[in-house]
This record gives sequence, C-alpha cells and structure tokens, in this order.
Amino acid sequence: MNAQVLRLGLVASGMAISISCNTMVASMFALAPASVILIGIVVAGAIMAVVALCYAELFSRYPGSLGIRAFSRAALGDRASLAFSLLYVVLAVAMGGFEGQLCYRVCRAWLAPLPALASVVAVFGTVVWVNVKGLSAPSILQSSCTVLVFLMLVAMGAWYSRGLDVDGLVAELSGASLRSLSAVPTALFLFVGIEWACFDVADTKAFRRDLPRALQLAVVVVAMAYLPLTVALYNRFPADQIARLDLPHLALAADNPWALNATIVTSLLALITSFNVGLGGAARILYALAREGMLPKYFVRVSVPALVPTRAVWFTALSVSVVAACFANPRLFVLAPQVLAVDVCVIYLTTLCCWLRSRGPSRVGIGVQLRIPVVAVALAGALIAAIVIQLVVVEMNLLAQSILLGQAAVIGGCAVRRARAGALAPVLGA
Amino acid sequence: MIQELSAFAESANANRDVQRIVKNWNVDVIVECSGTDESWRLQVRDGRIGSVEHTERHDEPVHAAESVRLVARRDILQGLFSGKLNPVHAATHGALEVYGKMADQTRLDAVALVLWGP
Repeated sequence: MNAQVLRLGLVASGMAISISCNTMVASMFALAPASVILIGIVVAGAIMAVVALCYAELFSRYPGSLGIRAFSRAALGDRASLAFSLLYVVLAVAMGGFEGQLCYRVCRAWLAPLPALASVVAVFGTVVWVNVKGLSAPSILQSSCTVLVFLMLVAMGAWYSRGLDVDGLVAELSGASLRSLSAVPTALFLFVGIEWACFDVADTKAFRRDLPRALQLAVVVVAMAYLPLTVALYNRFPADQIARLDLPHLALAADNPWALNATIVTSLLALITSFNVGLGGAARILYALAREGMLPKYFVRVSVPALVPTRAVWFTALSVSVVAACFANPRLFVLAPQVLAVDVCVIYLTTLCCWLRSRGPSRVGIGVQLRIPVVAVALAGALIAAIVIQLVVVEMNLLAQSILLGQAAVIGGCAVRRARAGALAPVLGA
Repeated sequence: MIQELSAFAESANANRDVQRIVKNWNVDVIVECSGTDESWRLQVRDGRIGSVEHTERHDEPVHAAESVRLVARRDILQGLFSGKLNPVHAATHGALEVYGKMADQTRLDAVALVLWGP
C-alpha cells in the first residue's frame, strides 16, 4: 500500500465517518434487531464497494470536469443529469443541517441552551469565514481528525462490548422480518461520502489503481468503525431506548466524566471538519453548474485572488443554517435518517444505472476499465431499488413521504426550467 | 492555433484581475490537439503568460504537478482560447480533457471567467 492509497483512503473514510452516522446507527434499532443491523452494515458495505468502483471508473472518463454532472449527462441526458447534480447539493445541505443540529446537541451536553447556540453559530461562522477566505484547513488536520474519530468509535465499541451476550445476539436473527430490510438504506448512509475522494485525485494516474484501492480500504475502515459501535449499543441499552438516542456515543460514555469530555471534544472536531468539507463541496457543485449555464449566473462570482465561489458558499451556508433550525423540530429530526437514506439510495442507484449505460471502453478521458462484474452492479442496483421501494411505501409515514415528494418536485422543476431556459443550446457544435 | 494562444496571452497579460489571479503562479499550460501530434506550451511565470511555443507531443497522459494539460479537437481549442466556448461546458460534454492539479485547473478557469465572463 503506497502513500497515495493511504492519503486517498483517509480522505474517503474521513468524508464518510461523521457524528451523524452514530445517530443513523441508533435509528436503525427502530427498524431491525442488532444482529440484522450488523448484517445490514456488511451488505451496505458490499454495495458501496461496487458503487465506489463505478464512481472511480466514471470519474476517470471526464478529467477536469465536475464528474457527477459529466458522467450522468452522458448516460442520462441533460435534464436527468441536472436533477442528479442538484440532488447531491440537497443531500449535502441536508446533511450539513443535520450535523449542525447535532453540533448544538453536543454543545448542550456542556452548556445551557443560549451559550450552546452561540457556540454553534461561532463555530459555523468561523468555518464559513475560513471557506470564503480560501484558507482551507490543512490536510493533516482533516486526516488526524478522521483517525481520532475512528479510534474513538473502535475504542468505545471494544470497551462497551465487554460481557456481550453472543447467544442472545444470534438468537435475535429469528425475529428478523422483511421489515428489517429497511435498515439497509440507513446502513448505506454510513458509507456516504466515500466517493468524494474522486474529487481529490491530483494525479490522474491514481484512477487506475490507487483510487480504487483507497475506496475499498475506506469501505472496510467505515465498516470497522460502525460494527463495534452497533454491538456496544446493543450490549448497553435496550433496543427501544437506543432508537431514541440522538447522540449514542455520548450516551455510551455518560458514566465516565473523562470519557464523556473526550468524546464531546472529538465530536466537535469531527463536526467542524465535516462542515468544512461539506460546505466547500456543495458550493463547488453550485459554482460548476452555474459556470456551465445550468444555474443562475449569480453563483458564478469568484473572489480574486482566493478563487472562492463566495456567493455559492454563502448560499450553501444559509441553506444549511435554515435546515439545521428546521431539525430542531423533534418530528423532523426523527424522520431525517430515513429521508436522507432514501436520497443516498437514489443517488447510488442512479450512479449504477449510469455505469451500466456507459460501460465498455471509452474514448474520453484516461479510459480506465476496472473490470467491475456487470452482475454485481445489476444485483446491487436491484437490491437498492427493492429496499427503497419497501422503505418508502411500507415504512415511511405521510410526512416523510411528503418531504421526499416535495424535494423531487422542486429538483425536477428546477431541472426542467433551467433546461428550457436555453442552457442546453448546442454550444460545441460537435 | 498559435494566433489564438498568442492573443489569449496578450489579453491575459493586459488584464489587472488576471494578473492578480496568476500572481506567484508558475506553471506550464500544455495544449494538445487530439487526433494529431500538434502541441503547444504556454509558460506562466511570476504572474505573466510568457512564451507560446510549439512542443513535442507527450505520450505519457499524465504530467508533472507543475503543468496543466488540455486535450481537445483543434476547433474546440480555438473556441476555448478565443472565448467563444465555455471550458466547463466543454469538459462536461467530454469535448475537453484537463489533466493537472485541481488548484491549477481552478486558476485557469478563473482566468477564462475574468476574460470572457460567465
């Protein structure tokens, strides 16, 4: 394993491992018993391994472009591609808002409501300022944070799994039902962000071997982080109580003040780096779409000499703040894991479709072919589709379904409107 | 093609905002015409786009970190360097390939944005 694989692996796992994932793990206990959740995480990891390879191959075909927009446009056409890219922005903003709400709740473990809110605003404001000024956090800080959170999760998992009733865990399998499958999309959410390492490839040679290896490494690392946490939660709390924990890692450490404080500090560090990366990523997609003529030119403004798309950053920051405030509503907060999981599944399903539609040798880009088995891609896609349908139709309540419908209507409407606005005029004449 | 590149260099060197963007930027912009052996190099040194010269085509698809390589058809390249084509649009449509560090790609796009607008 060379330094490039390690670097990209750290970036990929760092994008995926976040405090919101701990909440996702806890939320799965409302849908399935612990043993099924463990299987769900392994299944989701296997799906993500296939999806990540598809991303690496598709990104390699369009060097220098916004990968998700370019490969989806080639496979699905302009309108669907625009909707797909916007869904990415919506997901990034929703995740940012969710993390913002969690940040407030982490601060509340130490502070009264008002100082906690002031701290969140200060932290968030600093992150936005750093982004607007183009002062990106050193990669060593991001990497250290990833390692720290990973070690925290593994250590907590190992420590609080002492005296585990293995027989009881296995016996829970008999209680599994079709409903338990609903845990898989949420488990897939744990891996979301791994594919963002494709944006971080500085040397295009990395697409051939280093990036695919790094992505697979990241899948294993993420699974290794959340499997022990799931076991620890099962071991410490009754299932119905776990499902109500918004910050399960703090609940685990609650009986030891030192452990609790260390967990709070680590959580805040992780939240800050997640904010930083998510804000920059979403703003970059908005800027690229506007630069291409698919979104209003308002977002194209770039600060000189920092070269930061300032308006896109401010718009993203404002949207994240609004969503974070919305998640203060307990009903919305509880629904967030399922809604976000569905968004993730739709994105990954679309990516698999794009790969299937454009597989084979390519004349564009560096033409990487990773020999991904078609059967594996088709199986992963079919599994995601079946589970999402089951989750949306059977498990979700009317409010969650309405949120998803509203989101689809806004994104679809925006894609059609921008397409009609003449942004699709044939510019290249090719 | 050399005319478009020279005109581009002249416009960029005359623009104050571009000067601020390329300040302290030292990079070789390699422009390659796909399907042919034609290749050109623009040297950016200390805030100025210097010489524009014909070069040997590089077989290796990836260059050192100090260069950005653009690969496209001749008409696309001409459109890009004369401001008639949007580089982001071209890259999204698979008509332009850009190899190099992300920071260098961002600067190059910013130069095009300042010179010709969104």
